[in-house]
Amino acid sequence: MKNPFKFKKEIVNEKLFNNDTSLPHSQEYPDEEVIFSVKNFQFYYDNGAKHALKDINLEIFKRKVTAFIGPSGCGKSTLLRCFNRMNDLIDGNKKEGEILYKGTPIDTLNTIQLRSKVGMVFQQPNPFPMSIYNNITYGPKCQGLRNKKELDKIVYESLNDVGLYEEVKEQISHSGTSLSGGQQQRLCIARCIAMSPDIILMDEPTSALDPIATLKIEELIRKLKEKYTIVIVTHNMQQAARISDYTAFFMLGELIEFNKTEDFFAHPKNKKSEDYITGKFS
Amino acid sequence: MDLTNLEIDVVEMSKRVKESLNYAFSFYFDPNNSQKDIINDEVINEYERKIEGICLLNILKERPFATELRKLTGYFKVCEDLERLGDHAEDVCWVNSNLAKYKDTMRLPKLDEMINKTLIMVNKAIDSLINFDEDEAKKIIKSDDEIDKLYLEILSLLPSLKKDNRFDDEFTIFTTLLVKYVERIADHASNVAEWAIYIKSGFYKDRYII
Ligand SMILES: Nc1ncnc2c1ncn2[C@@H]1O[C@H](COP(=O)(O)OP(=O)(O)OP(=O)(O)O)[C@@H](O)[C@H]1O
Ligand SMILES: [Mg+2]
Repeated sequence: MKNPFKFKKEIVNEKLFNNDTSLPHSQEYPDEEVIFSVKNFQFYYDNGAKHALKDINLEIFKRKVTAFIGPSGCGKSTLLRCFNRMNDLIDGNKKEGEILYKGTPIDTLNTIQLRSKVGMVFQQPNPFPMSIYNNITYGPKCQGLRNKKELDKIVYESLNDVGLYEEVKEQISHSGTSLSGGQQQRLCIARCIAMSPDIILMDEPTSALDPIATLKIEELIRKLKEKYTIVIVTHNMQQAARISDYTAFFMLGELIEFNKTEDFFAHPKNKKSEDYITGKFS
Repeated sequence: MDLTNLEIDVVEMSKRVKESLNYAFSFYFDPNNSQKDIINDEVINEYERKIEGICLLNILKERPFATELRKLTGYFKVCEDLERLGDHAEDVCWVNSNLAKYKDTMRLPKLDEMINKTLIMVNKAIDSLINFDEDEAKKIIKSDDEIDKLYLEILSLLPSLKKDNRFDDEFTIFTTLLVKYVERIADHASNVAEWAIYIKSGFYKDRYII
């Protein structure tokens, strides 16, 4: 496999990764600060044979939950993976247009640093096969943090933030994989938080969980948005309506509608959105 | 989600409300027609309960969105206004039966006008609801201002006519009641039109409810 990083010029921009940077406001929603801005973005797989994202224009707002919905294969996960440049790892990908992170094109950024600020949670909980403690400290250690006291603090705070501390404090040295599915998913979220990210991307984070574990994650997402920006892909329309502030609806690689969630589900602007959310086609 | 049966119920309920009101006022103009027991409020009340039940059940089970959500919440609310209109049909019959003996001798042209305009309003408001006709609904809401104007004019007229001893006390009391009922009817008709707009667009009175 070719090394996707090799040919690209990357910059380490400390100021950019400092959480205090002031952000531009959205033109359409002036109250909102724009953290990611997607501009005329195209994405192709298979050396251009598969046009997965077609001329996407979209903004992700700071400390808001944005839900991506749409039929299977419409490109939700593809766009999500573009935000932290995970798609760069796929052979034969091609992109046009740009994605700006706090105003800077992400392709000019150092991927390691970008990914430390843009965490990701997947459909299947994927704790590393190591202790709960080490799951959480893995990222900070990779960044060079060695101080035991500080690492302990990060473990406590991250687990506490996801409501897992009380549940696992006696078994912090047990393997992360020994937890229940719902706990594993919260551990994965804690692992993201440990890196003090700006954004957490979640790709169907509750579709493998039971209703109670799902509810816990949903409550957690509501709480997390006080500190973090969240983008969540979900097939559960009720979930999108319950937890998100903005909804983006995609079909066949196109962004059909971006709207405030209440407006989107009460009086969508687009007939295709209406048909999709009322189950008129799938 | 299939809301056809719910819509049929709304149409049926609306039809009965229209009939009741048109009937109730018909013998304001022609007191010899008086048969107040024909007004059957019970059927309308039953429709209200039935529509409320269907709406709540669908909201609970189907978790509706978009047009379906607006229909289920809009019908849930509008059936209350429809039911009130039915109540007022009964009220109007009762008042008219007390006014019947004056009908040939005493008439207030302004009241005739107010009643005629209100009846047109009710009929059109209900049609706008059934036909999802947003433009018609908007027109109806505007005409409520005319009714309010007539209402105040008639009220200010009554005391002076009383002073002239042109009307007796009973006539004045029942006419006052009638005028008030007509004003209420126009108001509910205007609400029906407001809900018609909500169902179409999500916009209620001056803003989106959500
Ligand atoms: N690695 C890949 N190589 C080639 N094509 C791909 C690749 N990943 C996704 N695709 C194609 O791109 C399109 C968008 O896929 P994507 O996974 O983004 O959809 P999605 O909206 O997340 O769907 P789902 O709801 O099923 O997860 C699909 O047609 C898919 O087949
Ligand atoms: Mg996907």
